[in-house]
Amino acid sequence: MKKGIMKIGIPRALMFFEYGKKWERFFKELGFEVVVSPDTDNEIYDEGLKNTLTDYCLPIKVFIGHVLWLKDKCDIVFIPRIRSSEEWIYHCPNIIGVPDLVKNSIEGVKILDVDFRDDLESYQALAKKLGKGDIKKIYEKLKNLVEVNVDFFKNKTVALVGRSYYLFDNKLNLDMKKKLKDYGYDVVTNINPKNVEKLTHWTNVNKLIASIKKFNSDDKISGIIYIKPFNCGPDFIVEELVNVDKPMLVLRLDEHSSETGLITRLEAFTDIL
Amino acid sequence: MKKVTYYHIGHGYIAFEDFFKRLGCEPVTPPKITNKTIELGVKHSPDSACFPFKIFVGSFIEAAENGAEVISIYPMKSIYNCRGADYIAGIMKILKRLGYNVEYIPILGTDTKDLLNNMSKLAGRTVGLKEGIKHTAQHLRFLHALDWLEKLCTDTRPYEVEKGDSTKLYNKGLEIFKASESLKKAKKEIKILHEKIKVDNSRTVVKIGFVGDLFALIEPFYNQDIVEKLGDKGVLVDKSLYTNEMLRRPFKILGPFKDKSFKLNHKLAEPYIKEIIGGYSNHCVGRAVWYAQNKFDGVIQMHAFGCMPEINAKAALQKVSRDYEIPIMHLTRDEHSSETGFDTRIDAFVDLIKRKKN
Repeated sequence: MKKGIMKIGIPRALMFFEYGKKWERFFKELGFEVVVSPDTDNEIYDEGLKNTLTDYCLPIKVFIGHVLWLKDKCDIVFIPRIRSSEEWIYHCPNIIGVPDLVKNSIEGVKILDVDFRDDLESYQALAKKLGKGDIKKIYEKLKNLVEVNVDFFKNKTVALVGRSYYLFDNKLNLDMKKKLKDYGYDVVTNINPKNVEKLTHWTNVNKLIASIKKFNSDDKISGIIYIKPFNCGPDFIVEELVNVDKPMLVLRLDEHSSETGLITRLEAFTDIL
Repeated sequence: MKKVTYYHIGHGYIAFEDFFKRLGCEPVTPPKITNKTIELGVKHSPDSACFPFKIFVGSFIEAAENGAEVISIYPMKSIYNCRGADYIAGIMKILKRLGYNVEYIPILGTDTKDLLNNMSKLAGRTVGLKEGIKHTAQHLRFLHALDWLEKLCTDTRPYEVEKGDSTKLYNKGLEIFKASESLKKAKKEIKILHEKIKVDNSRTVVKIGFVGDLFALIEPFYNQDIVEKLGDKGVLVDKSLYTNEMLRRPFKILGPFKDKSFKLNHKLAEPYIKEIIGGYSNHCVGRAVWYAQNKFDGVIQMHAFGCMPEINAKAALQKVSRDYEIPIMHLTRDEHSSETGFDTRIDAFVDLIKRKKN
């Protein structure tokens, strides 16, 4: 470790999949060294499960695994408190409470904690905490880094919807995208839909419902797969609030989901299509 | 005259009955929560919904069967950052699917204008500011009086000579409140009855704090009469939330009535949970710290399976338990939990604490 340059660790879990590129770029522009934990592997996964209360949902457990991996490899771990994006619309308590959970359950981790809303103010607050000044220029650069990953449309296409931290973490979704491609389907995912209605109290659920509605009215999509984390609080209402005419497969995943079980269900689903 | 239904939670329904009668509606109290209610609720709600949601669905189906046209509950959106915020959307959707023709009008509101608007809708006439405030204040006073009665009985129970006297007083007191014209008179009557209970103040009792999610604390069917059971074992129970909490916290209009202990609890919780996460998690943790500092012998936390704020509180409570060396037991409730299982755990916990104390 070079003296003087602080190493900032970023766990590759939870909201990283939506804002991660921005965070990484931001810290690098400020002149810090950045360590991002690797894709979730068995070791991270198991460490996370071992060190978290069983009541938590799987993504939180995996997040703890990533923090444990980073613990000795950096000076400070960046764990923002992501509370809400609009008035009366919030993230779930588990996501908001993650900095407290880390503080309470892992000893000896230094946390860089800031109220994060993905706007200029929160980046300024972050820079202030790190002892840096004006960041407007850097913020302008960040604006263009948008994370929409849409893979397009050759054969039949299946839409995969769910939380970003399930869709882009191949350990958590049991490598579902690759499996679907093997069956000859293209996969579309969408994490930043437009025209999000304020149907529920939750940012993620509103986005999810908007995506499902959009895919439902899209002729190119032949079926929808909805990944529902087991024990996910906000998601309980989704099926009540959407009416889908296309075939929709609801998959509940947690740490006990088996790959063979998934294959059986995917095969059955593709047969329907 | 609108037929209005509301929660059947703890003893709160008596205050609701009074409130809607004053407004000129016909109150339809849902039947007491039983296993049948739960069965109905479980059958018609999404299986990943939390336990209180299932209770409400069952309860409101039963009320709709009895002819209720309007569902009126507090606007929970303003209270919780938890699944409670989506309750009403889900409940209305389910009732509509089942073919019940009901509408939703919140009790009170998020601000003064909203409050008067809702009251006017319920009453079917324009309700002025003066009348609105009068009704709100009366409602709050009524809830407070009922909670006062509950606390009185809970505090007496471990000391009573004849077992069951306090519970009798509680039930009698509720009847008195129902029948009485003025709260003051009713309170006086109850105080006289209370003095007649024989108590043995020389007993040494163990003190246990009871924290958890709101409905677990105020509905005896939900918590399986844990307060009464503990009282009978000679435990002085302190509940961290009472029924009036349902209404006191969310409404700006109730500024002067706000409880000071709330601020204190949030301050005490700060080392463990820095900011408000949602639900009653901060309150729960803060109160547990308060119990630890005030020489309580143990804490019991009860919450619904999958309750997000309480899971966060649980993680913090484990740290509290280590820091203050106070035993904390966590109980998780859903439609599958058995009463005997709970009893065994409570027995063991109380025995352990008693042994530790002697």
